[in-house]
Amino acid sequence: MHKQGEMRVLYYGGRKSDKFVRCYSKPGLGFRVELELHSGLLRHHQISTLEDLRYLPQLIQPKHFQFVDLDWVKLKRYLVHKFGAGGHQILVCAQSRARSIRWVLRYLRKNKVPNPHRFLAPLPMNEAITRALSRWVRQF
Amino acid sequence: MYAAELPTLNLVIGEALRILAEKERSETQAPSSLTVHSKYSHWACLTEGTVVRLDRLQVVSWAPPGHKPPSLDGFVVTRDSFVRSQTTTSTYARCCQYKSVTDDTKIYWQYSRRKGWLKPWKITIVADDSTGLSRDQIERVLDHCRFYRFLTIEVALDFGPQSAVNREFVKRHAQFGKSRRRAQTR
Repeated sequence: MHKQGEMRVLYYGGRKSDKFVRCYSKPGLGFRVELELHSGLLRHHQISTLEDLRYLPQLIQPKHFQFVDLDWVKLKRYLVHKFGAGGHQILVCAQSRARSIRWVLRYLRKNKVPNPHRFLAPLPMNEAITRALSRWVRQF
Repeated sequence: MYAAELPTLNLVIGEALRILAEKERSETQAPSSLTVHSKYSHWACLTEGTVVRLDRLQVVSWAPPGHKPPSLDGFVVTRDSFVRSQTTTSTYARCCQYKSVTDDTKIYWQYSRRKGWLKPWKITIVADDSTGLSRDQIERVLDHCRFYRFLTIEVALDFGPQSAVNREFVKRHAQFGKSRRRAQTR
Protein backbone atom coordinates (compact mmCIF):
# COMPACT_ATOMS: atom_id res chain seq x y z
CA MET A 1 0.00 0.00 0.00
CA HIS A 2 1.25 3.51 -0.83
CA LYS A 3 1.19 6.11 1.85
CA GLN A 4 -0.97 9.07 0.90
CA GLY A 5 0.98 11.44 -1.37
CA GLU A 6 4.07 9.25 -1.48
CA MET A 7 3.89 8.89 -5.25
CA ARG A 8 3.92 12.64 -5.67
CA VAL A 9 7.51 13.03 -4.44
CA LEU A 10 10.24 13.36 -7.04
CA TYR A 11 13.63 11.96 -6.08
CA TYR A 12 16.95 12.77 -7.68
CA GLY A 13 20.30 11.22 -6.78
CA GLY A 14 20.60 8.60 -4.07
CA ARG A 15 20.89 8.15 -0.34
CA LYS A 16 24.43 6.86 -0.73
CA SER A 17 25.57 9.37 -3.33
CA ASP A 18 26.89 12.89 -2.69
CA LYS A 19 23.49 14.44 -3.09
CA PHE A 20 19.89 13.44 -2.63
CA VAL A 21 17.02 15.65 -3.73
CA ARG A 22 13.35 15.47 -2.83
CA CYS A 23 10.74 17.64 -4.50
CA TYR A 24 7.23 17.69 -3.14
CA SER A 25 4.31 19.90 -2.40
CA LYS A 26 4.25 21.10 1.18
CA PRO A 27 0.87 22.24 2.50
CA GLY A 28 0.95 25.90 3.46
CA LEU A 29 4.45 26.49 2.11
CA GLY A 30 3.99 25.76 -1.59
CA PHE A 31 6.38 23.53 -3.46
CA ARG A 32 9.55 22.43 -1.69
CA VAL A 33 12.85 21.35 -3.22
CA GLU A 34 15.06 19.74 -0.59
CA LEU A 35 18.73 19.31 -1.34
CA GLU A 36 20.45 16.89 0.98
CA LEU A 37 24.21 17.40 0.69
CA HIS A 38 26.26 14.54 2.03
CA SER A 39 29.66 14.48 3.66
CA GLY A 40 31.57 13.56 0.48
CA LEU A 41 30.39 16.67 -1.32
CA LEU A 42 30.86 18.85 1.75
CA ARG A 43 34.38 17.56 2.30
CA HIS A 44 35.23 18.10 -1.36
CA HIS A 45 34.16 21.73 -1.10
CA GLN A 46 35.82 22.13 2.31
CA ILE A 47 32.63 22.93 4.19
CA SER A 48 33.64 21.81 7.66
CA THR A 49 32.63 24.56 10.09
CA LEU A 50 29.58 26.69 10.72
CA GLU A 51 31.34 29.66 9.09
CA ASP A 52 31.73 27.69 5.87
CA LEU A 53 27.95 27.47 5.43
CA ARG A 54 28.14 30.87 3.76
CA TYR A 55 29.69 29.13 0.75
CA LEU A 56 26.62 26.96 0.26
CA PRO A 57 24.97 29.23 -2.36
CA GLN A 58 28.02 28.99 -4.62
CA LEU A 59 28.09 25.24 -4.10
CA ILE A 60 24.39 24.74 -4.85
CA GLN A 61 23.86 27.05 -7.79
CA PRO A 62 24.23 26.62 -10.68
CA LYS A 63 26.13 23.34 -10.57
CA HIS A 64 23.79 21.33 -8.38
CA PHE A 65 20.47 23.06 -8.93
CA GLN A 66 19.16 25.24 -11.70
CA PHE A 67 16.17 25.60 -13.98
CA VAL A 68 16.90 25.25 -17.67
CA ASP A 69 15.03 24.96 -20.93
CA LEU A 70 16.01 23.67 -24.33
CA ASP A 71 16.97 26.27 -26.85
CA TRP A 72 14.71 24.94 -29.60
CA VAL A 73 15.87 27.45 -32.22
CA LYS A 74 19.50 26.46 -31.77
CA LEU A 75 18.58 22.78 -31.72
CA LYS A 76 16.51 23.11 -34.90
CA ARG A 77 19.37 24.86 -36.68
CA TYR A 78 21.74 22.10 -35.62
CA LEU A 79 19.40 19.27 -36.64
CA VAL A 80 18.62 20.76 -40.05
CA HIS A 81 22.30 21.35 -40.66
CA LYS A 82 23.26 17.81 -39.66
CA PHE A 83 20.33 15.66 -40.83
CA GLY A 84 18.63 17.83 -43.47
CA ALA A 85 14.94 16.95 -43.84
CA GLY A 86 15.26 14.18 -41.22
CA GLY A 87 16.12 16.85 -38.67
CA HIS A 88 12.53 18.13 -38.59
CA GLN A 89 11.29 14.67 -37.66
CA ILE A 90 13.77 14.44 -34.78
CA LEU A 91 12.76 17.91 -33.62
CA VAL A 92 9.06 17.05 -33.59
CA CYS A 93 9.71 13.84 -31.65
CA ALA A 94 11.93 15.72 -29.19
CA GLN A 95 9.23 18.36 -28.67
CA SER A 96 6.67 15.65 -27.94
CA ARG A 97 8.91 14.56 -25.03
CA ALA A 98 9.32 18.09 -23.68
CA ARG A 99 7.39 17.42 -20.46
CA SER A 100 10.53 15.86 -19.05
CA ILE A 101 13.93 17.34 -19.76
CA ARG A 102 15.52 13.97 -19.09
CA TRP A 103 13.41 12.28 -21.78
CA VAL A 104 14.31 14.93 -24.37
CA LEU A 105 18.04 14.68 -23.68
CA ARG A 106 17.93 10.91 -23.74
CA TYR A 107 16.03 10.92 -27.03
CA LEU A 108 18.54 13.31 -28.59
CA ARG A 109 21.49 11.23 -27.39
CA LYS A 110 19.93 8.11 -28.91
CA ASN A 111 19.43 9.94 -32.19
CA LYS A 112 23.06 10.81 -32.69
CA VAL A 113 23.04 14.28 -31.14
CA PRO A 114 26.12 14.19 -28.90
CA ASN A 115 26.31 16.33 -25.75
CA PRO A 116 22.73 17.61 -25.98
CA HIS A 117 23.22 19.60 -22.77
CA ARG A 118 24.83 22.30 -24.94
CA PHE A 119 21.32 23.22 -26.10
CA LEU A 120 20.18 23.97 -22.56
CA ALA A 121 19.72 27.59 -21.57
CA PRO A 122 19.26 28.70 -17.95
CA LEU A 123 15.95 30.36 -17.15
CA PRO A 124 15.88 33.89 -15.71
CA MET A 125 14.11 32.62 -12.60
CA ASN A 126 17.47 31.25 -11.44
CA GLU A 127 18.34 34.80 -10.47
CA ALA A 128 15.48 34.82 -7.95
CA ILE A 129 16.88 31.61 -6.43
CA THR A 130 20.36 33.13 -6.26
CA ARG A 131 18.89 36.16 -4.50
CA ALA A 132 17.01 33.92 -2.06
CA LEU A 133 20.18 31.97 -1.27
CA SER A 134 22.15 35.20 -0.74
CA ARG A 135 19.39 36.53 1.51
CA TRP A 136 19.55 33.36 3.61
CA VAL A 137 23.34 33.67 3.98
CA ARG A 138 23.00 37.30 5.06
CA GLN A 139 20.38 36.45 7.65
CA PHE A 140 22.10 33.32 8.92
CA MET B 1 19.48 28.24 -75.76
CA TYR B 2 21.23 27.28 -72.55
CA ALA B 3 23.66 30.16 -72.93
CA ALA B 4 20.72 32.57 -73.17
CA GLU B 5 19.08 31.26 -69.98
CA LEU B 6 22.26 31.20 -67.90
CA PRO B 7 22.23 34.89 -66.77
CA THR B 8 18.59 34.55 -65.61
CA LEU B 9 19.42 31.38 -63.65
CA ASN B 10 22.40 33.10 -62.04
CA LEU B 11 20.15 35.96 -60.95
CA VAL B 12 17.61 33.59 -59.38
CA ILE B 13 20.33 31.68 -57.48
CA GLY B 14 21.90 34.95 -56.34
CA GLU B 15 18.57 36.22 -55.02
CA ALA B 16 17.89 32.93 -53.21
CA LEU B 17 21.34 33.04 -51.57
CA ARG B 18 20.78 36.65 -50.49
CA ILE B 19 17.43 35.75 -48.84
CA LEU B 20 19.02 32.80 -47.05
CA ALA B 21 21.90 34.95 -45.80
CA GLU B 22 19.46 37.61 -44.52
CA LYS B 23 17.43 34.97 -42.70
CA GLU B 24 20.58 33.55 -41.12
CA ARG B 25 21.70 37.04 -40.06
CA SER B 26 18.34 37.84 -38.44
CA GLU B 27 18.47 34.59 -36.46
CA THR B 28 22.01 35.38 -35.32
CA GLN B 29 21.06 38.91 -34.28
CA ALA B 30 18.32 37.62 -31.96
CA PRO B 31 20.21 35.18 -29.71
CA SER B 32 18.29 32.04 -28.99
CA SER B 33 18.93 32.35 -25.25
CA LEU B 34 17.03 35.64 -25.34
CA THR B 35 14.12 33.88 -27.00
CA VAL B 36 14.04 31.38 -24.16
CA HIS B 37 14.41 34.14 -21.58
CA SER B 38 11.60 36.29 -22.93
CA LYS B 39 9.31 33.26 -22.99
CA TYR B 40 9.74 32.77 -19.25
CA SER B 41 10.36 36.33 -18.14
CA HIS B 42 6.93 36.51 -16.47
CA TRP B 43 7.88 33.55 -14.24
CA ALA B 44 10.93 35.36 -12.93
CA CYS B 45 8.72 37.61 -10.82
CA LEU B 46 6.65 34.63 -9.69
CA THR B 47 9.67 33.06 -7.99
CA GLU B 48 10.37 36.22 -5.99
CA GLY B 49 8.73 34.70 -2.93
CA THR B 50 11.29 31.89 -2.80
CA VAL B 51 12.48 31.19 0.72
CA VAL B 52 15.59 29.22 1.61
CA ARG B 53 15.75 27.37 4.91
CA LEU B 54 18.26 25.13 6.57
CA ASP B 55 16.09 22.10 7.18
CA ARG B 56 18.29 19.48 8.77
CA LEU B 57 21.84 19.15 9.96
CA GLN B 58 23.69 16.04 10.95
CA VAL B 59 27.09 16.10 12.66
CA VAL B 60 29.38 13.58 14.28
CA SER B 61 31.63 14.65 17.07
CA TRP B 62 34.33 13.49 19.40
CA ALA B 63 33.41 13.35 23.11
CA PRO B 64 35.26 12.29 26.25
CA PRO B 65 34.62 8.62 27.04
CA GLY B 66 31.39 8.01 28.87
CA HIS B 67 30.10 11.58 28.46
CA LYS B 68 26.32 11.93 28.38
CA PRO B 69 24.54 14.47 26.17
CA PRO B 70 24.47 17.87 27.88
CA SER B 71 21.45 19.95 28.76
CA LEU B 72 20.78 22.66 26.16
CA ASP B 73 19.41 26.15 26.67
CA GLY B 74 15.98 26.54 25.13
CA PHE B 75 15.48 22.80 24.74
CA VAL B 76 13.89 20.20 26.97
CA VAL B 77 14.71 16.50 26.96
CA THR B 78 11.63 14.64 25.87
CA ARG B 79 13.09 11.17 25.78
CA ASP B 80 16.35 9.38 26.54
CA SER B 81 16.08 5.74 25.66
CA PHE B 82 17.80 2.58 24.49
CA VAL B 83 17.67 2.05 20.73
CA ARG B 84 17.50 -1.45 19.39
CA SER B 85 19.81 -2.29 16.51
CA GLN B 86 18.09 -1.28 13.25
CA THR B 87 20.25 -3.42 10.93
CA THR B 88 22.76 -6.25 11.31
CA THR B 89 25.37 -3.66 12.31
CA SER B 90 24.55 -2.08 15.64
CA THR B 91 25.63 1.58 15.91
CA TYR B 92 24.49 3.70 18.85
CA ALA B 93 22.81 2.17 21.87
CA ARG B 94 21.06 5.27 23.16
CA CYS B 95 19.34 8.34 21.80
CA CYS B 96 18.46 11.48 23.70
CA GLN B 97 15.68 13.56 22.16
CA TYR B 98 15.29 17.29 22.73
CA LYS B 99 12.51 19.64 21.74
CA SER B 100 12.68 23.39 21.52
CA VAL B 101 10.52 25.36 23.95
CA THR B 102 9.82 28.06 21.35
CA ASP B 103 9.21 26.16 18.09
CA ASP B 104 9.11 22.65 16.68
CA THR B 105 12.87 22.15 16.36
CA LYS B 106 14.01 18.70 17.46
CA ILE B 107 17.41 17.28 18.26
CA TYR B 108 18.31 13.59 18.26
CA TRP B 109 21.55 13.03 20.16
CA GLN B 110 22.86 9.50 19.63
CA TYR B 111 25.51 8.29 22.04
CA SER B 112 26.96 5.16 23.65
CA ARG B 113 28.51 3.81 20.47
CA ARG B 114 28.55 0.07 19.81
CA LYS B 115 31.51 0.08 17.41
CA GLY B 116 34.95 1.55 18.02
CA TRP B 117 35.17 3.11 14.57
CA LEU B 118 32.10 5.27 15.19
CA LYS B 119 32.43 8.79 16.57
CA PRO B 120 31.18 9.03 20.16
CA TRP B 121 28.29 11.35 19.28
CA LYS B 122 26.00 11.61 16.28
CA ILE B 123 23.65 14.56 16.41
CA THR B 124 20.72 15.29 14.11
CA ILE B 125 19.04 18.69 14.29
CA VAL B 126 15.66 18.85 12.55
CA ALA B 127 14.24 22.31 11.97
CA ASP B 128 10.76 23.62 12.41
CA ASP B 129 9.17 23.53 8.94
CA SER B 130 8.15 27.16 8.96
CA THR B 131 11.29 28.75 10.41
CA GLY B 132 14.28 26.59 9.51
CA LEU B 133 17.38 26.28 11.65
CA SER B 134 18.94 29.42 13.04
CA ARG B 135 22.62 29.94 13.66
CA ASP B 136 21.92 30.33 17.36
CA GLN B 137 20.26 26.91 17.58
CA ILE B 138 23.18 25.22 15.84
CA GLU B 139 25.75 27.02 17.97
CA ARG B 140 24.01 25.84 21.13
CA VAL B 141 24.67 22.28 20.02
CA LEU B 142 28.13 22.76 18.54
CA ASP B 143 29.37 24.51 21.70
CA HIS B 144 29.45 21.07 23.29
CA CYS B 145 31.19 19.37 20.37
CA ARG B 146 34.91 19.15 19.73
CA PHE B 147 36.33 18.04 16.38
CA TYR B 148 32.90 17.86 14.83
CA ARG B 149 32.25 17.05 11.18
CA PHE B 150 29.15 17.66 9.08
CA LEU B 151 27.54 14.50 7.78
CA THR B 152 24.50 16.01 6.11
CA ILE B 153 23.28 19.50 5.38
CA GLU B 154 19.78 19.75 4.06
CA VAL B 155 18.74 22.98 2.38
CA ALA B 156 15.07 23.52 1.54
CA LEU B 157 13.92 25.93 -1.15
CA ASP B 158 10.26 26.79 -0.76
CA PHE B 159 8.54 28.19 -3.82
CA GLY B 160 5.38 29.98 -2.76
CA PRO B 161 1.89 28.72 -3.73
CA GLN B 162 1.56 31.47 -6.38
CA SER B 163 4.86 30.58 -8.04
CA ALA B 164 5.06 28.67 -11.31
CA VAL B 165 7.06 25.88 -9.71
CA ASN B 166 5.28 22.60 -9.21
CA ARG B 167 5.93 18.92 -9.86
CA GLU B 168 5.47 19.19 -13.64
CA PHE B 169 7.67 22.26 -13.82
CA VAL B 170 10.48 20.52 -11.94
CA LYS B 171 10.27 17.51 -14.26
CA ARG B 172 10.36 19.79 -17.26
CA HIS B 173 13.05 22.25 -16.23
CA ALA B 174 15.03 21.26 -13.14
CA GLN B 175 18.59 20.05 -13.35
CA PHE B 176 20.43 18.75 -10.30
CA GLY B 177 23.93 18.38 -11.65
CA LYS B 178 24.56 14.84 -12.77
CA SER B 179 21.91 13.37 -10.48
CA ARG B 180 19.15 11.62 -12.31
CA ARG B 181 15.56 11.22 -11.35
CA ARG B 182 14.86 7.98 -9.59
CA ALA B 183 12.14 5.85 -11.06
CA GLN B 184 9.13 5.25 -8.82
CA THR B 185 9.88 1.67 -7.89
CA ARG B 186 6.86 0.87 -5.78
